[in-house]
Amino acid sequence: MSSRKKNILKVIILGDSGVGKTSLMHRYVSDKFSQQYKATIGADFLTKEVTMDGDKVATMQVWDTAGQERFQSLGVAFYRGADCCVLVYDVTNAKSFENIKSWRDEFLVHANVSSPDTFPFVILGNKLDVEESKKVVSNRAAQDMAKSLGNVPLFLTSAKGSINVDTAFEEIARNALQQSQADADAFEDDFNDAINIQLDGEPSSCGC
Amino acid sequence: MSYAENIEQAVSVCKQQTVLMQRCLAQEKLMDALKHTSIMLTELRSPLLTPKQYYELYILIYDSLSILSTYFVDCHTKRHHLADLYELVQYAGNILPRLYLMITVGSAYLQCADSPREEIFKDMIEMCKGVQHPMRGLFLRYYLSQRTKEFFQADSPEAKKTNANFVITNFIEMNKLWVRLQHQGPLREREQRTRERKELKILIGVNLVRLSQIVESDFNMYKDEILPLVLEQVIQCRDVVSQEYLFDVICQVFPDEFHLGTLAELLSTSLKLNPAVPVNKIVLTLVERLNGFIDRQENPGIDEISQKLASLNIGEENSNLFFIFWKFLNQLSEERPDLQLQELAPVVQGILKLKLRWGPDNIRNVNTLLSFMTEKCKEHGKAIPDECDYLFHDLLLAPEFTNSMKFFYNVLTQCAAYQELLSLQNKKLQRHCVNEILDMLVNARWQITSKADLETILKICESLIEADSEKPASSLMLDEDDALGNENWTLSPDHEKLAKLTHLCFNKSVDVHIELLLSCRNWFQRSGRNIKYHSPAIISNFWILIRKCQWKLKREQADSEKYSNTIKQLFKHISRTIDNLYNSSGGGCLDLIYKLNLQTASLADQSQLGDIAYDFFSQAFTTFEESLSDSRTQFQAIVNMAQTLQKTRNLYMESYYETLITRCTLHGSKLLKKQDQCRAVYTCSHLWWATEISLLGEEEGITESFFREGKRVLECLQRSLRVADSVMDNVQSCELMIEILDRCCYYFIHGDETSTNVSVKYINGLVELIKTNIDSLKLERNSMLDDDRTLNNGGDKAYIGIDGCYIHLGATNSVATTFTKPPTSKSTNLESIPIEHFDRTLQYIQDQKEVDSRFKAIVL
Repeated sequence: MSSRKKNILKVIILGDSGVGKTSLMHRYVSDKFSQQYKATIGADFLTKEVTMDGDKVATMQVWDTAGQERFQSLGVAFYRGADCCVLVYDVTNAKSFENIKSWRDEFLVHANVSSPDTFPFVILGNKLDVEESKKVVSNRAAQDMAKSLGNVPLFLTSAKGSINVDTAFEEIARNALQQSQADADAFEDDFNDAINIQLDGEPSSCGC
Repeated sequence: MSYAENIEQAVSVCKQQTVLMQRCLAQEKLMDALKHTSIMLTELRSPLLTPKQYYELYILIYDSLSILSTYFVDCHTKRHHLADLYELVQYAGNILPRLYLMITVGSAYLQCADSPREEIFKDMIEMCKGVQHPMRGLFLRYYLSQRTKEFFQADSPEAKKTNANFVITNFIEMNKLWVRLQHQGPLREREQRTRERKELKILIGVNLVRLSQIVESDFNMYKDEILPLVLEQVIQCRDVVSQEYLFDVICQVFPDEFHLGTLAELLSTSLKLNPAVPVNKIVLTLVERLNGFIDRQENPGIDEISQKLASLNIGEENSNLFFIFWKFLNQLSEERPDLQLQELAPVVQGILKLKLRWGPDNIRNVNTLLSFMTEKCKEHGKAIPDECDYLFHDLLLAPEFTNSMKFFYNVLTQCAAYQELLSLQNKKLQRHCVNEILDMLVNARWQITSKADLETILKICESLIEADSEKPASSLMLDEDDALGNENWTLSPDHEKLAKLTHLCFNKSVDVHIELLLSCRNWFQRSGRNIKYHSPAIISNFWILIRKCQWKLKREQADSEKYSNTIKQLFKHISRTIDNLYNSSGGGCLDLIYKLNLQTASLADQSQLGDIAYDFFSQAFTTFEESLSDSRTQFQAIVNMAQTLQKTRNLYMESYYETLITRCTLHGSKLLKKQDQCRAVYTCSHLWWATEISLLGEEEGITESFFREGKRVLECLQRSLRVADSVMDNVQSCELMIEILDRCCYYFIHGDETSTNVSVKYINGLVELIKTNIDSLKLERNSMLDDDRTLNNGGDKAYIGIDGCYIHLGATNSVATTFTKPPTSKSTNLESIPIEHFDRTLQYIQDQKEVDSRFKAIVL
């Protein structure tokens, strides 16, 4: 029982409506991109096998979420147990950039993570492919923001042009793995006590 | 088996059982692992959980079952065969844990190459029917959907079709469960159930997401196989919550291009929904979505969009969006005659929005829509309910209209229905809208150049023009008040805006411009006494035109006759406008009428039209004589008249000028108060002593035609001196004399003493007289000098102004305050006012001796 085998890495993608969360996920998981716009409702995930540092294999569960709150009627219980949170903004949409911080706060409030200060976030500035004139969020502003949120890694990506998506997700996977191991260790210590007490009190009560 | 009492316990049980399950799996005790899983799954039978809590638990359990699933796959054929396991889990005691386990095993089996796919799919979805409890059933089927989704990636049309059918079957069953939830349990918990249903909606919607993933970009499959089935289910369920939500989701999860191709189907479905479903919401969702399509295009030009539409292969009948929506609107109003205006108005607005986004320039379609709405309002018969106010406000001032002033102007002037629709609204809303419209026009400085446009806009403004035009039910007393000129000049923002509208009228052609102004005048005539707010604006525009004609007269010699006729015509219009003002205002704004006459007279004089100037001056006198009754106003009027007359130059024929100035002076000498008489008369003395107006090229010493009659000047001064002397109050009397002395100095400087008749002798005599009076004043003051308070009154100073008012200047803050009556406080030393004034005048004469040797003859 020295190491619990938890090889599922749970990654949550958050950001305003229309910044390209679904496209990023699809680009990463299945290397596809569709020009057609579909709004996401609720939350759902895709999985992808990842290999890190040559030998560590894990299943990455990438959760795509609805940017519009009205499509999140059952709440955000799926935040729990996340190993990494990806915050996405659209480089052509200043509002989506300003909202990054509130998405982060929203995540921390509901995810119930053990240590909010060290929980890994990654920021993605998507739609890098659009023409320069339409970009309104400067790289400098993005870097400042990433720094102010605790040196969060920042990637400028394009799901459409397949720019930087894989690199970004490698970083995300690494962070998630680290977090998952740290959590697993803490969980082990924590839980061993609890389980003993419970077992003493209720010895195999079921008879189905 | 039992379940925990609350969510915290349930979560803790699940975590516990998960660890136990993992340990058993590590020790390869599969049966024990399944047992722990069953205990965990039993928690999902709890009837105590709210949808959100149930979801929380579900997420936790999903993760645990994923661990189990991975084990199943990893150890398939090594330690067990999944086909056997599928059989084995059927023996679980309770149906809910049994089905979760079954789906977990089944989906694991599907991952293996040798699995009987179709059988497993079929079996799983059949078995799910065993759970008919709505919430449990929904989550179970959601689980089925989540576990199976990864097997839906197929390329062959056949496989796609099978997959789609599987999802649709699941969707239909889920929707039934969802609807049933509404009808279970006691009636009093109905609201709570509706709330819970709305929370659960995601679970049903996910099926449509799944379908969207399966169909990818295969439009024909969507149109022929998916949409009809889904829409049928939507119609059949007859449930308000469900229909509203599902329509929204269909709009959201399928791509815009699909909607463009199936608009007619979507819209006609919306007509078959439960009448309680807000049809406007559905239309607006669709409109938002379609307009979003344009926003998302890289080149959202009209041509690019129509090209794009053509390339979509959506069929001819679907390519004219407006037509489809228009047809729908007519159908809607036919099939649902019960539809309230509240619901209809947003639909119309939605279509309008769409229309303007997709082909903004077609005013005719806008008019069609607005007339439709107008008809509906008329059919409504009764007054339109107040709740609708904001709807019609939004419709009439939709940002789609007002974003571009040019377009909005076209709507205002070319859509007959706009005005009609507006006129059907209640007065309050009409006025509010008109105010906003006028603000926009004024802020944009939009020029109105055509008479037809102006008439339309004025018609739109009708409600504002006619507002408050009725005279208040007045008693005789009130009328008398008006006659006395006590009219209330309160601020009237509405009418002020109408006045501003006058300034927007413009046309290069003076004749057309005049027509525009006359249109304004005719319309404003309807506002009764309120024309006092707009008449000055109209008149000042006539003035501008007169100046413009004068300028043209000089430049275009050929048309000089035409322009001089126009100028005369313009003066007639002004006269008529002033008459209207007089008649409509009921004698309420005589001072204004007096001033307008004077100003026009002055302009006529400058236009070398002596006859006309004389007429306007006469009008001013008539107003003065008949109606100006307040003594202060009278004095001001005389001063004003004298100022204007003194600058006239074209009244010398037929001794107009002399008639007028004599009359003016005569009126001055008949004023009620002696101070006023005195000041009016010495002011009128200037009428006999014209001075240079350099703008006209006149120059003192060179121009010879100045109107000057020194004898009369002196007569005036003497007369005012007599009046000053007869004033009983010594301070006033003395002050007036000093003022006359000041005038004498003026004439002494501006003319030779032989011609002005204001001689050194006369001035010396006057100075002597004043000295005597001042001495007696000083005596009066001395009697009070012992009083310390008066001596050190803090340095406050008082003066008497040129119109007889008292000006009090604070020593510390230099703030001047004006009073019409002498200050009553003892601290103000009235006697020192003329004393100090006299000192200043003497000082002035003394100083003049340095520059003008004639002054040396004056003895101080």
